[in-house]
Amino acid sequence: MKKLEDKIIKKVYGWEIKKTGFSLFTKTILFFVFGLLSVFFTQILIEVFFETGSDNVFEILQEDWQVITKHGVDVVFSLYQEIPKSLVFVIFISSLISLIVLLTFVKNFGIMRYKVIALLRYWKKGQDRMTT
Amino acid sequence: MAIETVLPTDEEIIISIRQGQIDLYSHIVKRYTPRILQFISSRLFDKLEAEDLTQNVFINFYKAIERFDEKRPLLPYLYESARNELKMFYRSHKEVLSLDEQIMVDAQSIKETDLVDIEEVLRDISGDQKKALKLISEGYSYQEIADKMKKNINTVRTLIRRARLLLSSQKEYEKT
Repeated sequence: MKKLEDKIIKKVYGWEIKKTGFSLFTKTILFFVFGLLSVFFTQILIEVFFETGSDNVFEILQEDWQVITKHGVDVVFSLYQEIPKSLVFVIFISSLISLIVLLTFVKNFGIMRYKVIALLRYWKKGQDRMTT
Repeated sequence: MAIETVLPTDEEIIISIRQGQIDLYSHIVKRYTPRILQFISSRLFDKLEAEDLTQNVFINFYKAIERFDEKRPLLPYLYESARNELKMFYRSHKEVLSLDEQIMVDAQSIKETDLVDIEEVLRDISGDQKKALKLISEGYSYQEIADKMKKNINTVRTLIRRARLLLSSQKEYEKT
């Protein structure tokens, strides 16, 4: 009976290793890929801003409050017309995905930690059994 | 002074496993393996197969633990799972006659006179119907036949149905 129980536990742990490993791997890949994509496209957007001279719209922020309230809407409107919308959309989506991945990881961090500890403990126990 | 160790209940174990303490699953395995193994062994006389099915029951339960209602008693669930495993086992080990064998037997039982009859019957049906029947006897699907004959699938269905009706009506006529 003990042998059968050990077999079951071994299979369960094997399945759990695959599941946890896959989850960690996909989350890491997704986070880095989309995070790097958003950084890369943001850099391009900033370059485009400086090349087209659109960055001067931010000079209004140095003005008085009255000037900002008077011309703020016009500035925002002209900024909206000048920005490459598809690029902003890509940045927004990739940042959103990497943020969601990060939040789900943080939310499940406790569970994941316990699982990894249990798996390591089981693996260590197996190693000890093999050496004795 | 003796130290009393209070074993956690099934509900507590399931909640803890969901929170990541997967090593507690060994409690469930130790608690229920003898009963499930005995249940399966009483219906299956192969000891190795019984052990395999017991393993499947516990692995399947572990996979489903996220969806399992912890307020439900666990043992009936495990018995039900064991019953399903047994059903699947019997289904997969059902004795079947291979299709090739069936065809061989049928081919042997056809006499030469029968073949002549079949040819005569086939002579009465139209070319398209004959072609469709031939293709379906070769194992093509309706869609594949429609593609091959460059016809609508519903037309193919009608062709085959009419050919079959014609064949069966001729068979009835010969009987009378």
